[in-house]
Amino acid sequence: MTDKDTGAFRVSSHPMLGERRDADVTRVIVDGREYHGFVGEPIAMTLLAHGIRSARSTAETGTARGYFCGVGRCPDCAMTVDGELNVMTCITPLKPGMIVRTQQGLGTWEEAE
Amino acid sequence: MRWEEVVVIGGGVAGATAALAARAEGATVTLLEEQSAVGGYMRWCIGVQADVFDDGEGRRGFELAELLWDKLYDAGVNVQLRSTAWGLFEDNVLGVVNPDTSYQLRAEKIVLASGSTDVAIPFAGWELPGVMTARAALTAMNIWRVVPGRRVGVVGNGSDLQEVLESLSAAGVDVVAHVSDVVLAEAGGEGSVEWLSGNGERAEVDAIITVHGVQPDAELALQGQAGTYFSDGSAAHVPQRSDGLESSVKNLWVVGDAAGITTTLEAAAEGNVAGHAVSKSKKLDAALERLAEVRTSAGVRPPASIMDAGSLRDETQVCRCEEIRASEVRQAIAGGATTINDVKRKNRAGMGVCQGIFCTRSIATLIHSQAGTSFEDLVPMTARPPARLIPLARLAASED
Repeated sequence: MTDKDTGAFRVSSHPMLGERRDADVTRVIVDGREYHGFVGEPIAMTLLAHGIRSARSTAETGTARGYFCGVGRCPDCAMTVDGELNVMTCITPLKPGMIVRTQQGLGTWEEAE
Repeated sequence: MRWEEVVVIGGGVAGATAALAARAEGATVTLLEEQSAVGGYMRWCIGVQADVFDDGEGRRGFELAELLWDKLYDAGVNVQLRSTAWGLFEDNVLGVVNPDTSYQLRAEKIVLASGSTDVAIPFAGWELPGVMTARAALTAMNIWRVVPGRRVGVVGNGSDLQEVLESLSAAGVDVVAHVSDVVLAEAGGEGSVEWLSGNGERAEVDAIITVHGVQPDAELALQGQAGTYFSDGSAAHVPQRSDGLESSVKNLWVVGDAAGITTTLEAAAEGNVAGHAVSKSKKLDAALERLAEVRTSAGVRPPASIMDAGSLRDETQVCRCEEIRASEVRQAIAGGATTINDVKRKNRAGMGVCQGIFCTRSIATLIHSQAGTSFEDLVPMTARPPARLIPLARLAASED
């Protein structure tokens, strides 16, 4: 797999971490568009690697939020994943074929499947 | 309900060291680690760390994390990954959740080594996508090898600044602007962050990393009603401890950053003390001596930055979860709120998913500046379970 397939914001060769050992690549659908990411990495990393920074909009003011604390403490990277609302994408591993959607506020029943 | 002899919460340097010491002294030890690997803070660091095992090896953070895993595995510590202790109830009963199930766990002895959380300081535009904490950026770059952007802005000058700048440089990312005084920082953009300014001049950025240092994160001890005091060195309320590092709650030890910001060597020495204490080891005195020695020789890690309340704009959000602006917190204080709990009751600030970890410092500073309350008197808001966002379906699937 080339860097292009899994996103332009990857670091393949690193002076201290060495060469990247790639995991299996899987397809992921984000708001209806197809992307590719590595199985097992946090969903938020797949998105960030493709330059997708916005994960949800807030309940009160409807403004965009994205990956902020990175360790599962804040709600800002929560998205709808395979029909489940409020999934913290920074700590949830990517599985093959996931369907990920930008979430509005706390999510709606229509979004949940 | 499950039962365990010794449960260590958190697999960073302090927790792993405690588990290793207790195990070496014959105790049966379970270690609950919330993330997908042990190592805590070390996992996302590439800088060379202190010589924790005193063997002359200058290990980088991620190498130290890997070594901790090897040692825990070899020692036979029962390490449970992606396992979050979300509640501490009477008689040392823990609520634990993992991706498969949830359960209650009664521990004869608990070592809380829950570490730190990054400090967040509000500034105009800080809620935009693309703005992230230092550990979020370090996790992305050094664990997952994804860079936050290609033109990155940095805000703040906290204790992890060097690690952030080295990591960006190693990943080949340009720092296009560094606003070291958060008071001057302003960010903007449509849909996600596009610019950062420090002194009026805008730099085009596609990500911003905030670097304000870290704060102790001992929420479970607070839930357990452990006594606290205000530590100047940590600029935070932290659990009171005996010389042997036991909290005011019987059979609950607190070590490492959770009990006050420490150096890596001190975190290891504290873990070692707690490990020997819970296993009633004859070597406890030696561990205590070692800790005293480290405390006098290892220096201190600087406390996190404190927000400047006066310069915070009214329209800036203080509580990100509930979207409460500075003006609303100021109104609450003008209306008689004198504690963090008061502000929360008036406008929900601090009531969100993050359990206040990213806003209560700011709220305390606003109360301090407006109502004159001392930081000592601004006790943390009442800690209630769950300590994390957990789907009810997961709790409902409890095995109890």
